Amino acid sequence: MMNLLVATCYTPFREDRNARIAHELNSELIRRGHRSDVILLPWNHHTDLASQSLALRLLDLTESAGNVVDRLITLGEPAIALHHPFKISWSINNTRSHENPFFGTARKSFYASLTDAKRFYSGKPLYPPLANTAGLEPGPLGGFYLWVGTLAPSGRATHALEAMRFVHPSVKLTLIINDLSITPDSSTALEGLRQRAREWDLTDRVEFVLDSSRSTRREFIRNCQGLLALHYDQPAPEDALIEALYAHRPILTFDDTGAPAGLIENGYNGVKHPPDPRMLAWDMNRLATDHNLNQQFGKGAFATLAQHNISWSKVAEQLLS
Amino acid sequence: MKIAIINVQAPFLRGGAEVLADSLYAKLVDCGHEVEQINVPFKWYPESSLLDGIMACRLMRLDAGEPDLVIALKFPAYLASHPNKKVWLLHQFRQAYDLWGTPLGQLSNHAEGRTIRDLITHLDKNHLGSAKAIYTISRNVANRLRQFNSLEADGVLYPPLMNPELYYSAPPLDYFYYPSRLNVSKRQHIAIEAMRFVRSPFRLLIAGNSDDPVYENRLRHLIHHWGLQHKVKLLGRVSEKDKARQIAEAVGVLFLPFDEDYGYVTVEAFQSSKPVITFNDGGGTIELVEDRRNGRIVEPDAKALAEVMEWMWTHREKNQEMRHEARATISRLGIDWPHVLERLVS
Repeated sequence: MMNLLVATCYTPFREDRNARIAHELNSELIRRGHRSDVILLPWNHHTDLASQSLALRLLDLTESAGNVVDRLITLGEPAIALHHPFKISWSINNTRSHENPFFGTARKSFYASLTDAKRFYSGKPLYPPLANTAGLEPGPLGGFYLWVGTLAPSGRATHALEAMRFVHPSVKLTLIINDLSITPDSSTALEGLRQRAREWDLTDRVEFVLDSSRSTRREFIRNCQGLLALHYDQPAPEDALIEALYAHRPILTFDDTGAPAGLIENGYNGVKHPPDPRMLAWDMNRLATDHNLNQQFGKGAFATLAQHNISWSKVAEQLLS
Repeated sequence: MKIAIINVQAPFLRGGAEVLADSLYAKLVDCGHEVEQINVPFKWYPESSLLDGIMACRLMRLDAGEPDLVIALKFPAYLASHPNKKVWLLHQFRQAYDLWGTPLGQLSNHAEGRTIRDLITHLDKNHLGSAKAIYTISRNVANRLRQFNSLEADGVLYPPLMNPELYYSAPPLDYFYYPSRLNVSKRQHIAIEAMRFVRSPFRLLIAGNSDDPVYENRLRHLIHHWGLQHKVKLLGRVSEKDKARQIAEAVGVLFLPFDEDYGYVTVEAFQSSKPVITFNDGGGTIELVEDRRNGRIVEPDAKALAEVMEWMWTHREKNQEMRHEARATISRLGIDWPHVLERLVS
């Protein structure tokens, strides 16, 4: 039995993915007989980043009340700044830890995308699983594609919107906007997208959903024709992508999307092309009309979970290996 | 309202402060607030690491997630800044104050102890002083704040129980009950020694985990040494439900800490209409217990303790009156969540 700490930074008052993964990993470690605890530290993404990193650096996590901490597992950047002689880093979020000055201070590092795993070490990616898969039972095809993300330009919501110009008029698009309040210019970006939809005469076919709660997202995922995973060069798959795999939904992605590109095999569990809205539209049309093909890709999507063994048991084994 | 509760955390450990923070969280959520608990890992030893912990709290950004209100509980978490910070002070770093120069005050033996103490005093004065309001969990804590920092608390908010409905009253059986962590500061050894002097046919049941194996062995040795096996029983850890039942059926409850900041045991006993026996150096506990009204207060001495246990055993009518008063103390002192939340959130 080891004494373990799972630490990450998070934004309070939000459905925070880092915090959720920390708790789920902690439960798995306890289930395996270890003594484990979670450290969640608030982080303000907009200001004083150096001072906040210093605050993390000052915390002594090597021992607690007479119990030596054998391993510290940090989830994502900026928690990598925490100090421990046996620190294990698992990059699970959308900021690459190699840009952090404390990158390289971990005894072991794991990455959640094939690209990063190849780039920074020669191992296999370690994907974050879901502990709770409720509400992901495959539903009937709802005649719409789904895009989920923030409105940062790298999310490429505009590519999804532009593809809709070339898609059959019976096909619709739903965009679930995450964390609209996270950046001040998100509202402007949203208005820009709405304006673009009006210009392209897509207002009746494009729906913007601002409720990014898990239950809402899963309800859309289980009924969509496919998930558009278009974000540029992601270090880790979003929850929505793993959820879509569980829900037997094909993934439509570009070959420069990082983590999604590493998981998707063209013609097996979805489609993967260069970042071109017209090519995306062609696949959207194809999967909307050919239900057998859609179902076949959906089966491949679900099989991907087993193929990569995306499970807490694998994560625990790897992190403590 | 978005409310952040900030506290410190010693990984792998859970004590009264964590129970209080969890209870506050649950009650605020019940009232419809959006609540987050922020726990900053903190180590107070070696003494040199104190400053790192203090600095970490000062650098932490409590505005992450934009809370409307921050409720801070413990040193050094309450040093963090927020424009709308209220403090419900559990305790300060006592080694820098009342424990300075005592056997429990390791900081006074450290080469830089005086400098660290002065820094803590200065920071406490500034950052407690800048809070929108300071409430304390007992008059004992408020008195220290006045004595050492010249700060006046806005009031005392005695922490209520998380689940008061668990506690009830039943006719007393043949035992006194002492539920608490086995620790030398709780002085279970005096309770055991007292049973040497008891002639009446009542027993002593001691419930609680040990956080100090040496002390637990000492207690076992005492029981064996004085041949008290038939009169004293160490129950170990008991469930909340069992504890409530054992309190309900006790003649009275013992709570014998030295200079406690508060102590839930007294409130649990009062909630069950049971009188409490405590020592006159018990700190926060003697704010709640009034001698011969809702319990007994005696010198920290085994013989004196044995005498009041005998007194409580034989004075059944007076005991009945005290039981009634014990329960009334809870409402008289406002030990309930609506009162606490009204003061903290308003």
